[in-house]
Amino acid sequence: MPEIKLPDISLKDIRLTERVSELRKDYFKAMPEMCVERPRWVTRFAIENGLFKQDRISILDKARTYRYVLENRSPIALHNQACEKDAHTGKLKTFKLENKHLSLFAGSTTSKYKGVPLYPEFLAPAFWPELETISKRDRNPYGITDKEIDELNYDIFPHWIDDNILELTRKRMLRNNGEKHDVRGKKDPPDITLLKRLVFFLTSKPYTISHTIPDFSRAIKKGLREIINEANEKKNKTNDDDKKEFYTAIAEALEGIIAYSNRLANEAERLAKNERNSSLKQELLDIARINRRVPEYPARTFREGLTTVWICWIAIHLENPNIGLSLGRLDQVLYELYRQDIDKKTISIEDAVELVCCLWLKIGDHVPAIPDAAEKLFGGTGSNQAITIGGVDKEGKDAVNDLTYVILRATELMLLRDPNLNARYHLGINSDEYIRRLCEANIETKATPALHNDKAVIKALTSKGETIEQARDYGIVGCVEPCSNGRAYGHSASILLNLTSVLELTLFNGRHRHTGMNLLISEETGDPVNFKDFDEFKDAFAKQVRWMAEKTTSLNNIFGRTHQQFYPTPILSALFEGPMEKGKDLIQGGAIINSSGVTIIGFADVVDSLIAIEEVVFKEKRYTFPEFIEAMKSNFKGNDYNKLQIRLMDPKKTPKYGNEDPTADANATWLVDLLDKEFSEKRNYRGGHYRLGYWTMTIHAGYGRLTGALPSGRKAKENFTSGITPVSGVTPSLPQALNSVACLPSQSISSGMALNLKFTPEADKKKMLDNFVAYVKGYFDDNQGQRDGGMEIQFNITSHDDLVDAVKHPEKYPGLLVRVSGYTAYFKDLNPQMQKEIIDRTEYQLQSGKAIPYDPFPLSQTDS
Amino acid sequence: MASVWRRFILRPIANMFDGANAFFTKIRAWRLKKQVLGAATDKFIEILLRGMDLYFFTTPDDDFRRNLKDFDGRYYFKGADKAEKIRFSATFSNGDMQVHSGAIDDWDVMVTFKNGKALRDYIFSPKQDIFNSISENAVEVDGNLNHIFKFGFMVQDLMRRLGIE
Repeated sequence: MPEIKLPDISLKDIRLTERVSELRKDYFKAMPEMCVERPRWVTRFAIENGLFKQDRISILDKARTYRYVLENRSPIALHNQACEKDAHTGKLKTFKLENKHLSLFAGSTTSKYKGVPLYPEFLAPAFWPELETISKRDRNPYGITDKEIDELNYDIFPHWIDDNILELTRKRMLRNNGEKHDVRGKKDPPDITLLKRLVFFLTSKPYTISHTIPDFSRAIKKGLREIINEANEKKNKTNDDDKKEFYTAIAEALEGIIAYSNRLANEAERLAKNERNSSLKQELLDIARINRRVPEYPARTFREGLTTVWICWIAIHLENPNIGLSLGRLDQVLYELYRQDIDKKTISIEDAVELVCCLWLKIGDHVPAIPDAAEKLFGGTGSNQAITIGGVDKEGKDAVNDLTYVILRATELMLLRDPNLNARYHLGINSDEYIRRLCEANIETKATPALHNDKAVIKALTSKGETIEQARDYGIVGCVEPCSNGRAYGHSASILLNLTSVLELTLFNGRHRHTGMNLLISEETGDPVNFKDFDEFKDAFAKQVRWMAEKTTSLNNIFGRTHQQFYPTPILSALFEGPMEKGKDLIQGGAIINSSGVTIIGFADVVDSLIAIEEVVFKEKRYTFPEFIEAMKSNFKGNDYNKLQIRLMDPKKTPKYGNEDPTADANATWLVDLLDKEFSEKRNYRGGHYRLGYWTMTIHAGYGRLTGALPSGRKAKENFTSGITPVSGVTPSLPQALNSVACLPSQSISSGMALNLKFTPEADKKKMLDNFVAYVKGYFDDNQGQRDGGMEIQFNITSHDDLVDAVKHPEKYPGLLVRVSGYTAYFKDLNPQMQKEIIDRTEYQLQSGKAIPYDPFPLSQTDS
Repeated sequence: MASVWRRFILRPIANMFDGANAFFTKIRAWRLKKQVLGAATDKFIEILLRGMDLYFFTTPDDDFRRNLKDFDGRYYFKGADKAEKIRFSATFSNGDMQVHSGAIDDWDVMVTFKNGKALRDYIFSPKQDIFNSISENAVEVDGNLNHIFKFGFMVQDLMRRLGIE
C-alpha cells in the first residue's frame, strides 16, 4: 500500500505553468478539422494490395495496412496552424500557432491540431452529403478544405461504397452460407430494417467497437521490441497456421509503431536544427531522445512512461475508432516511475503535474466524427476517453497514491471534457481525505470526476464470473462502464436499447405508434385492455423484452462476425492480456474476459410507467386501460386527460421511482433483474455473455423526440431521463432518491450506471463539502449487507440561473463543463434538447437535502 | 443507344453553344430552386433527377462529371401513401446518368417517401434533417446507404454549381 508523501493532497499551490496556459489557450481556440490522412493511406494500401477484392481481410492484411500508414503519415512534432471560428463572420479559418511554448510530447492522433479522424471502413461515408456544408453547420462544425473535399469525394469514399461494415453485414445477411449472388433489388433483412427505424435500438458495431482499456503496463515495462521478440518466438514454436499469421501480424504492427516514434524523433531533430531559441532547441532534442527510446524499449522515467502511453494511444486510434477507448488506471500503471523520479529528485511534483497537463491536451487532440443527422442523438460528445484513479489494488488494499492526486489536480486545472476522469472509492479502505478531495474537485470543476463505488462494482463483476483479482483491477470505459484493465474486451456499447419501445410493443400488442398500428413489429402478447391484472401486463412486457433481447443480440452477433471477417485488430491485441498467450486476435475471442454490453435508455420513464399502470389502472381502477391508452394517444389533451397527467406527475398521488416507495422500488428492481436475466443468457460471437448498463450519453434526449406520451405522464417528444436517474422534478428528497438507486441489485448492472445529480452551488464551501461527502458515503454504504449500495454517481454543480444564461449567452461560458450521462461535455456544444434536459434535472440543495422546484425550461419552437 | 446519342451527339452540340447551355441550365436551376428552397412538392424528385441529368450531359464542367467516373449505381425513388403514383429511377454507369419514370428491379437503393418535402429534407444539407424524416416516418431507405450518401453529395454539388444555396 503506497504511502502518501504529498505535503498537501489538494496540491492547491500548484497552478498551470506558463507553457500549459498558452497551450491550453490555443486548444480552446481551435476548432476541429476533418483529417483525410488516415483514409487516404488506408485506401491506397487496400487498392495497391487488392484488399477490396478479397472475401476476407486477415489480421496480417490489417497489420501491414497500419504499418504502411505509420511509415507514411506525417510525423508531426509541432503543429504550425490550427482552425478557429471567426468572431464576426462565424466562418472557420486558419490561424498560425506561435509555438512560443512546446508540448512535452510529440505526435498527433491526426494530421490536424484538433482533428476529426475518419474511418471509411465504418460510417465515414455518412459524411459524404455534408462535405460541402460541414464547415458551416450551426453546431459543432468541422473545418475542411476544398482539396480535402475532392479527395474524399473522388478518391476515397467511392472505394468503400460496397465495403464498409454496415454494407458488408447487410450483404452477409441477404446471402446465406457465403453465397456470392447479387443483392441488388433485395429489400433489407427485417433486422436491418428494424435497426434503420432508429426508434427501437441502435447498435454501434457499424461505427465502432473500441470501448476497452489496453494493457499499457506491458509496453511500459517491456517495450515493444520485447513483445515483438516474444511474438517471433511463439511463431517459431507453433505449427498452427492461424497462430503463425497472428504472431507475424503482431510483429508487423508493432514495428510500424516503433517506426513512427523514430520518425517523430527525426522530425524533432530536424526542427531543433533550425531552432534558434536555445531552450526550445533543447526541448526538441529531449523529445527526440525520448522518442528514440520509447516505446521500443522499456520506459525508465515518468516522462518516458507517459510517452509510451501516448505513442501507443496514437496507434490504437489508427486502428480503432475514437469512441470510448479508455486509458485505464494510469495512477497504478505509472506510479513506480513517478515515485522513482520524485524520490531521485529528477522531477518535481510541479513537473509531474505539467507533464500530465500536456498529455491531457494531446489525448484531447481529436473529436469523434458526428454527422449532422446524428447530432440530435450524440451532439457535443467528446471521444469519451476515460481515465480511472484510486480504489483498491488486486489484493484489495488501498491503491490511492501520490500520482492519484497529481492526476486529480491536473484534471482540476485543465477543465477539459476529454479525458473523462473517473474515481474509484472503496468505503472503509480508501481514506476520508481522499473522498473529501474527490468531492472538492467536483465542486471546483462543477462536473468531474464521476465517482464509482468499489464494493458494489466489484460485486457486480464477480457475479459475472470474474475472479476477485480481475474485478478489483477494474477501470472505467467510455462513459461509466467497469472493465477489467487490459484483459476484458467488453464492447459495452454494442446495443443501445430504447426501453420505451418495449413498453410500446406491450401496450400495443406488438406494434409501435411510430411505425403504425397496422405493422406488426414483434410478437402479439395480448391487448392490455383485456388483461385482468398487473401480473398479466408484466408477463407480456417480459415476453417483449425476450423478443427484443433475441433480435438485438443476434444482430449484434452478425455484425460481430463481419468484424471477425473484415476487421481484426492487431495493435490492440498486442497490448492486451490474452491474445499473445492464446495466439488469437481480440475479435476472435483472444481476451481473457469477453462480453458485450447493452445499455438501457429510458429506464426511469418505463419504471414510472409500470408503476402508473399498476396503481391507476389495476389497483385503484380509477381509469380503464382503454381510457389510459386514449389519454396517451391524445398526448393528455382535453380536460380529463390533462387532470390525469397532472395526477400522474404528482409524486404525492402516484408513486414514483426515486422516493423510496415500496411499489416503485419493487418495479425498478423487477425491471433491472428481468433485463439482466434475458440478456445475460445470450452468448456473443466471441463466446462471452451480455451485460447490462444504464448510461445514455445524449441519446435519451434524441429518443425522447421520437416517442409519444407515456403512461408515466410524460408528454410526447419530451426528453427521457438520463442514465438510471429518477425522472426530473418528481423526487423532492435527495436522501430518498439516493436510497432508491442504492437498493438496486448490482449483479444485474454489471456494465455500469450513470446517476446524474445536480447540486446548487453554496457560498459556504466547507459546509457544502461536508454534506457532499456525507451523502456520497451514505449512498455507497451497503448498510451492513442489507443492500449493495449505489454503484456510481456524478454531478453538475452549476446554478440553474447560470445554465439558463449559458443558453442565451454561450460566449460567456465557453468552457462550462457539464456531466451529461456518463461523460463530460461543454455545455455550449450540446444541442438545445440536451441543454434543456440538463437545466430541467432535479436540483438539490445539499444543506436541506430538498429539491428546488423550477419551471421546465422552455424550448424554442425551432429547436423542439 | 440513348447514352451514345446523348454523349456523342447532344452534348457536343449543347457545348458548342454556350448560350443554349446556359439557357437550359437556367431553366432547370429555376425549377430546382423552387423545390429546394421553397415548398418541395411531389414533383421534387422528378425535377431533381432530370435537372441533374441535364446538367451532367450539358455541362463542360469535368469536375462535376467526374462524379460518374467508374460509378455504377442504381436508384429507385418510390412514393407512398398520397404520393404512391410517383415512381422514378436513376441509373449511373459508363460515365453517364439515365433517368426513367417507373420502377427498376435491380436497384442498389430504394427510397420510399411520403411526400416531396420529407425526401428533400432527407437528401439535403445543410437543411438535411434525416432525424426529422425518420421521426415522422416519412422516408424509408432499403439497400446500400452509401449510395444515398453519394447521391446526397452530388445533389449538394449540383446546387452549389447552379448557385442554389
